[in-house]
Order: sequence, then C-alpha cells, then structure tokens
Amino acid sequence: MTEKDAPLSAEEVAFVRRVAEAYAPPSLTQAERTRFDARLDELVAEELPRSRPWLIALAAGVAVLALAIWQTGREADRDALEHAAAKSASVESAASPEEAIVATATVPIADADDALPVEYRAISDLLVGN
Amino acid sequence: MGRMGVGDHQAVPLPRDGADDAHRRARVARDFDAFVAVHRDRALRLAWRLAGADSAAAEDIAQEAFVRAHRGLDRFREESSLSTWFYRILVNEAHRHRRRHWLRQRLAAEMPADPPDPRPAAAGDPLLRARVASALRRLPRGQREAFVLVHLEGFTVREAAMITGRAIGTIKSHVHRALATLREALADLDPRQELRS
Repeated sequence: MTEKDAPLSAEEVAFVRRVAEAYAPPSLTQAERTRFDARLDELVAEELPRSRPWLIALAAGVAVLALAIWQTGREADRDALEHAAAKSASVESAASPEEAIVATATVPIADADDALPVEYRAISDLLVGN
Repeated sequence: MGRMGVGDHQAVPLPRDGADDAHRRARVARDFDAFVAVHRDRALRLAWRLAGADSAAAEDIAQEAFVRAHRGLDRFREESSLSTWFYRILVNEAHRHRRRHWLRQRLAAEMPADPPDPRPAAAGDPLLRARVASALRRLPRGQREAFVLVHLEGFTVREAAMITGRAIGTIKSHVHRALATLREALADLDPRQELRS
C-alpha cells in the first residue's frame, strides 16, 4: 500500500513484510509456466465451441416453439376432419329426408363458419381471409 | 470487442467495421497470449494466497479466471483497465472455489482424500505458513481480500476497491481491521512483541 493510501507505522511495515515473506508461494519454473500455458490453451480451445450457450439455448427454444405450433396445427386439422366426418355420417345415416333435416340441424357446431353452406363459407373465407 | 491492452491500462477498441474476422480473431488470440504472459505469475501468486497456500487450487483458480476472461472479452467495455477487470474475475473465482471446497468437505466427508500435491512446497517454514494461512482464513472475506491485495500483492487501495467492487473507504477500513487482527493472531511476527520480551 502506498503511503498516500494509509500510512503504516514502522512496526506495521515490518510485520507486513514478515507475513509476506512467510506466506509466499514457490516461484514458478519455466517448465511450470509452459505447462500452465499449454493447459490454458487446451481449456480455451475446449471453450470456443460452447462460447455462445445463449445462442444454442435460443435455437433450441425456437425449434421447440415451432414444433409445438406445428403439432397444434395438426391436432386442429384432425379435429376438424373428425368433426366433419361425424357430421356427414350422422346426416347420411338418417333413414328419411325428415330425419336428415333434423340430423343436420342438431349436429353440434364447433365453429360458426361450419354453420354456413359450402358456397357461403368460400365467400366468407375470401372476405375474411381465413 | 475491445482490443486487449497487454499492459496494465487502457485497452484500445478494435474497429468494428468490415475488418476481416479471422484476422481480428488472430490478433485477439495473440493479445490474449501476451496478456497471459504478463499476468500469469501474479495471477497464480494472488490465487495461491487467496486459496490458503494451495498450489493446485491456485492453478485451477488462475486457469478458470483466464478462461472466463477470454470468454468475456466481447463484453469488456473498458470501464476499468483490462488487468483490473481480470483480477476482479480472479478474486471472484477464488471465492467460488473456496465455497465449492467448503461444500465438498461438508458433503463428502467419507470420500477419499485428494492425492498429495506433487508440486514442490513453498520455501520457508511450513508451520508458520500454515499459521498465516489459518489466520487469513479466519478473517471475514472482505478483510482477507483487502489485506492480500493491498499488503501482500501491492495493489493500491484504489485498485483493490475496483477489483473487489467495494468503496475505497471500505477497503481502508478492511485493511486496518485485518492488520489489527493478524497482529494479534500472529503476535510472534510482530516487532512489538520482540520489544516487550
């Protein structure tokens, strides 16, 4: 410590010097320096490929999100197909035209657009852009 | 990325325009090697003193500090000198190492002890060295770091404050208290005791 920082008495200076002498590491040999540097080079080289862990995490996150969206879309398509098939089957299985009308009217509607005839649905899709 | 100044102060920023990336990386690698060459011995010495005179631990700490510094070069923004920034990493790494060591000792009491360190022991009286290490270990972290940095490693109070992230006044207080405590604990090294006896 410099004198300007906090002046030490002569006794304190002597004490600190003794502590520093008693608590000094062995000095490095040139071979140890070389070994240290070589090991450090290895560690840095190992480090480089994983030096951007946040980038890897981000890529993994985007992939998971894309997979989840794709999976959700597939399930929605499958539900819509099953719903349409069930509707068609219930109407076709009706014994008489009256029953067919009743069946068409009582099939549960999953989507408001399902209530529209095909031609109207096509126009709706064009205008709304779905 | 900031260009590393090899010396103690003032890193000069690298141009970020269309300079060839490979060329820039090569220059950074060269500068890093030069930085290691300049600071290796002091880093190991400081780590040894903070790790309680353990050469193997000192090497681990210093290696990890250099690796972390290399990893963080992109984020180095010259708010402090490169060396101050590096020694801050090293002091924190020494603290982390100390905590891990303490935890290992607590959790793995039944595990076999570490093999003996093949490195040559430091010169001087091993018992006295162990006593100094023990006295330093008993100090609170802030006092221990301040004492080692300022009195044993020769950093100024201001540098020690920047390295530890503490106020200058706090460092002065830590150094003063650490010195008083150590003079009690290691009274036989204190010239006052010689005069009395």
